[in-house]
Amino acid sequence: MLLDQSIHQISTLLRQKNLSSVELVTEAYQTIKEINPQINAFITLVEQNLALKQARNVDQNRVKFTSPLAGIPYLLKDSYVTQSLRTTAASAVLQNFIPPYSATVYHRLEDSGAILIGKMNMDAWGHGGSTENTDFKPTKNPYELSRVAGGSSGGPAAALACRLAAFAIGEDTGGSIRNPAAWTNTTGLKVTYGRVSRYGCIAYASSFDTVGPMAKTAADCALVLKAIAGQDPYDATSAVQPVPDYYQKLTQSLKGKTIGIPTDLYGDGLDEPIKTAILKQKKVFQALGLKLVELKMPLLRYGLAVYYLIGLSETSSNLARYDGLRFGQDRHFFTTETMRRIMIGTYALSAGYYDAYYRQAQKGRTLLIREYDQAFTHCDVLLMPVNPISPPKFGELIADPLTNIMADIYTVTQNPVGLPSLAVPCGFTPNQLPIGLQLVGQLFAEDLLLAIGHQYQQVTTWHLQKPQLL
Amino acid sequence: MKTYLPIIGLEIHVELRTKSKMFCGCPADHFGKEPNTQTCPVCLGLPGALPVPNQQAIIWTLMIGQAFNATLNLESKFDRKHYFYPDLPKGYQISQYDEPLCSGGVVTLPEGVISLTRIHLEEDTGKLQHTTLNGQPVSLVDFNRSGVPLVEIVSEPQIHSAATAKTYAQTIRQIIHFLGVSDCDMEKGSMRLEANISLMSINPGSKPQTDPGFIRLPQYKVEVKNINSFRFLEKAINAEIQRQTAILDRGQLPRQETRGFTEVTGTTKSQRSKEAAKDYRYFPEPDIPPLKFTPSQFKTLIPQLPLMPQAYLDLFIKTYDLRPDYAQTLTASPKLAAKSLAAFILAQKQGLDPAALANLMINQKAITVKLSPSALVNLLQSKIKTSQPQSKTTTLMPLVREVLKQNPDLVTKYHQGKVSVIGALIGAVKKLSPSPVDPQTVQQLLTQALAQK
Amino acid sequence: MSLKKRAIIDEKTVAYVRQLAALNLTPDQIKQFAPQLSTVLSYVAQIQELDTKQVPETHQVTYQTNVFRPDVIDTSRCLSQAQALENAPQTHHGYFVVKSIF
Repeated sequence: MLLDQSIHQISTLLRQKNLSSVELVTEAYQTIKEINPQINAFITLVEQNLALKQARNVDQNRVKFTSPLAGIPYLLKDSYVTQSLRTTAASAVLQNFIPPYSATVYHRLEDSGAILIGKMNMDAWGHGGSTENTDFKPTKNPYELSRVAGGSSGGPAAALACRLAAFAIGEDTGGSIRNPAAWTNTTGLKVTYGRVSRYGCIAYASSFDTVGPMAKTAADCALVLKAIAGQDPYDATSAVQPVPDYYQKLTQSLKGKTIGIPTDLYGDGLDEPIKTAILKQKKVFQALGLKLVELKMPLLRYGLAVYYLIGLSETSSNLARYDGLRFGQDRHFFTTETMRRIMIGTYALSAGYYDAYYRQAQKGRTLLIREYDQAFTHCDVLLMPVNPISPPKFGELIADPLTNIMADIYTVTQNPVGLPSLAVPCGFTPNQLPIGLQLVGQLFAEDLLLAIGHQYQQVTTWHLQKPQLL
Repeated sequence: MKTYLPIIGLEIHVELRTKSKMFCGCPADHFGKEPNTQTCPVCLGLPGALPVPNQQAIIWTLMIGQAFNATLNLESKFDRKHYFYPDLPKGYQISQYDEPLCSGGVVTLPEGVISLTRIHLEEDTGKLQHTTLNGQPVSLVDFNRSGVPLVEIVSEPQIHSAATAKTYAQTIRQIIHFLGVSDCDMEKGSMRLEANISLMSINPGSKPQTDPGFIRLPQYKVEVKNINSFRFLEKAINAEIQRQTAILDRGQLPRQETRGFTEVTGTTKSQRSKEAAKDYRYFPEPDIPPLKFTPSQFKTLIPQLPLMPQAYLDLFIKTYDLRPDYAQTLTASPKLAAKSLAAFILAQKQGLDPAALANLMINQKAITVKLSPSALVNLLQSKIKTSQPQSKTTTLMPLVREVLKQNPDLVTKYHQGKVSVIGALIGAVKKLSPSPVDPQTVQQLLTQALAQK
Repeated sequence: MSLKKRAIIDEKTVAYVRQLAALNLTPDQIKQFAPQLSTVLSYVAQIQELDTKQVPETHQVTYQTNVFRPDVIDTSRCLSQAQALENAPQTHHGYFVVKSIF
């Protein structure tokens, strides 16, 4: 398959005119036609003619399009507004919403010549970790169709696993890129808060939400990140730090860098095969020149409480604009899960409870920042699991509100602190379900994370495996 | 017979006349525009939109703080204030809760000083219009005004009469007008008033509280809205005082509620029933980084304030010897005040009496509006009649000094004992003056001035 | 009263909160939500275990201050009246229409 190749390889072929964007896009649509009915990754498929028109434009104007992403098909989680193209956030509230403007991330990719071919399924508003809380039917895990693909960026992840496009833009608020990446054997990057503009990203938790790349490899993610990162005057929280050449920095020397392993996270609650698979990778990292240290991060266990109290408070506020007056349907159309989250958030902010819940959680956030700061005095990067369990069967995770929450345990502490984290494939369970690990870095350390991920992927082959489906 | 002291606090909202809105680049000048023609994803509250604060609005709010001697807070932030209403597109208003841009402040009135609680910055809502469509009662919503910068000035409940409330509101309006940051036009809605009114019982025969710190405020507060002019402000307050007096006289407590002033009846009517449930669930606005300044940053950022009404009054009355009521008239607007000052400076240079110029300007309003300061001075010059010789000390003194300066030899002769040179000096003053002078006054002034040398 | 005890949400509280949140819940949903919300809140109430005396709140992790925009009109983002209204269920002569709540 053409889309088995890396973005760099495809880009080279396109530039040398050994491949046309039209061929690439045509293959994508053929595979989509065959595979998507089985996994239900798409909410809105861009009209093929429109995509081909853009492909032809890139093919005919190669000189103008210098970006490595030019002519390459990609997907957007349906939480990014796209002008004149339906955007739903997977909720019936927005099922007919046609935005009059586009997200900054879309504009930057459009400028690079990349070709959008789909708006992808997700947990509505980001509320979930399995793409089951969607009004557009769940997305299935390509590795086993009776199981969830993860969430909330389940649609993009499942699609990438099946090579339906070259990369995707997901969104990570508490693991929503990393969780589905790990469960679909793909790579996903949660960036530093503010690294990529949130303008046009339908908000879940404003101080947690991040816009990030998903692809087959860290190298691909690096190319995408380079195109989308950088300050945006339309987003007051976007970072002013200059954007490094992430792709160039993939080959940086890792000698002397240290990986910290918080042993508290590898105890109870983590499935044995996942624990084994991740810890096996220590040897691989050592071979790359990295040192390993063990450490303890006891306060991380309060991460779920911090995440849920602040996150749900912010979401109850961000969803207040959906009143059906200027656009969309009214609040009746929220799913039960979304309504529960709005209720908890509203309660946590309400008079009499604000101090005990919201304010206390913001203090807890300060303690989490200190906990990570302390850990990073001993290492450059932290190695953590992504999911405590392998992808559950449909209905298992959402049967119980507490089970649903606990599944996020390893991915909710990075967002309140703003730290970046890269999820890469690192093995399979005995029943062939994907396992991922995450490398958590300090603020703006994406280049280091991607370098470790890339060099790890140069000497491992997990990420090259594809689901039987294909 | 019970006595009641009205306890009144005023909340004044002022729309800033910035070019663009508070959190987006839409035009802020919305009056009279076709509905929903000045909106964008941000001020329309569309999914994914984000607010970015208007720097000018922040600076102007700080200037308002300075004009009222408020504390300009080095650290402040924006907060979300939640409630559902059709004219509030996000379901929350971006405002300031516990860390406003300015705290405290004072407003000086003839009858005394009113303290301010705070001055903060927020965004305006859209506009709601009630009508019927196909027999159904509906509201029409226009979001052109949504997101326009709004400054809220909150007074301490230190106003005790409707008349004082009116003076207070007029003073605030004048000062903000002089700052040039808002049109303060009540008809256009760029200035809005809300009053909080309650009555404190003062029972004769009970021990008077000697410690002001122990004044117990009433256990209720009535908020009155929909006051569209200073005249209605007085009416509304007096109507409320009457209404609350009647209730208190009956031994009952007025309900804590929001009431709207009705112009037709000149009374207030209850507006909302579920007052207790006003839980705005304030929390810090996550989409906007906080504001943090150093005192020297304030110095650089905030331009020097233009002259304020009181400064003009002081100049006009003390330096130019104007009648207080004339001085007031000429400080009615910043344009008029500035023009008057320029004219007085010119007049004085030419030895003319600024008070006379003021007289002219006030009695010939139409001409005053049209003419420039120098044209006004010329007009005065041409009108000076020969019947009244100049005897004002303030006008003559500059001439006297100038003459002494120009004739050092005569000064020396005078000090040597030749007193008769005073005649020559008087003559010199006569020559220098554009209008006839009173010789006796001139002689007095010369003698005084010579004695000092 | 310990927070753990307060973490039990009864139906009355659910009814109050849903009103604050402008969510229309059926009586059945209110019944269902009470124990579900209680479970979640009881879990997150462990936040109380943290010793936060003297710990400041962190409201955001931008580590920035004073992010402003200049006071200029940005026509590139302005919507036409048609664009502003295009997703509305009901409009009238350029206005959004909402059923009167008075």
